[in-house]
Amino acid sequence: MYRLLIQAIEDLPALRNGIDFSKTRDIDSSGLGELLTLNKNLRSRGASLKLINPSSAVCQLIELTRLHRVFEIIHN
Amino acid sequence: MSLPQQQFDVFRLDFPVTLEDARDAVRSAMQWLLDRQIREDECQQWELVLAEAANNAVLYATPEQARHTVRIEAALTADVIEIRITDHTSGFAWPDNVELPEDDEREHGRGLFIISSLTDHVSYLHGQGHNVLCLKTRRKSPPQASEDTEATLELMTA
Repeated sequence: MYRLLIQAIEDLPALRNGIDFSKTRDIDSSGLGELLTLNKNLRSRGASLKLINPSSAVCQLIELTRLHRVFEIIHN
Repeated sequence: MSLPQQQFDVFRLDFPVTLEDARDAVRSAMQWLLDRQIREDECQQWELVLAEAANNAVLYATPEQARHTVRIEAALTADVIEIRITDHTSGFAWPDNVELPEDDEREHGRGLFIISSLTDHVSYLHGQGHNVLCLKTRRKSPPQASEDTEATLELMTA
């Protein structure tokens, strides 16, 4: 479901600064899986995925699924 | 997609086996809950749970099984929200303990954990030709005064 979006943003240089999640209301396990794939691809290039300003619902799900141990969450 | 049937406080909707129809069906079910003054945070959790369940019903259907529709039913009692998903996939054995993948970075294997974690009770009836996933949570929102609880219970157990 999220694959096209992920492919579209994967090569953007700005991605190294993180993805703005402020307008993302929620995400399901398929979306989390795509973010993990993206994170793996970024790591192979020496970077890692940062999620910027995720909503409380997205944060709760990330913590529930223990992915706060994988993704860097940035609130600013 | 057939129109939702809403008698008493029961919601029922059959949808074709596509991800787009699953998404629309989940939204319809959420709107039905919102219309009954279920709190938005409760609805948001249910939306995620239902999205996981409905997507599974689509993604694991063979072309032959996808000729059938998937059914979402929801019912409210004074204390409980119950939602059932009936699919026609080959089904599986629901694990006794639903856990996250040992490898945090594994891309798959979180859907059942999310469903289990965000509901109070899950049962999965693996039948011949169809399966029923029954999900329940205790309501955080007080019921409306006009709600006919006995009629709802009768419908759920019929």
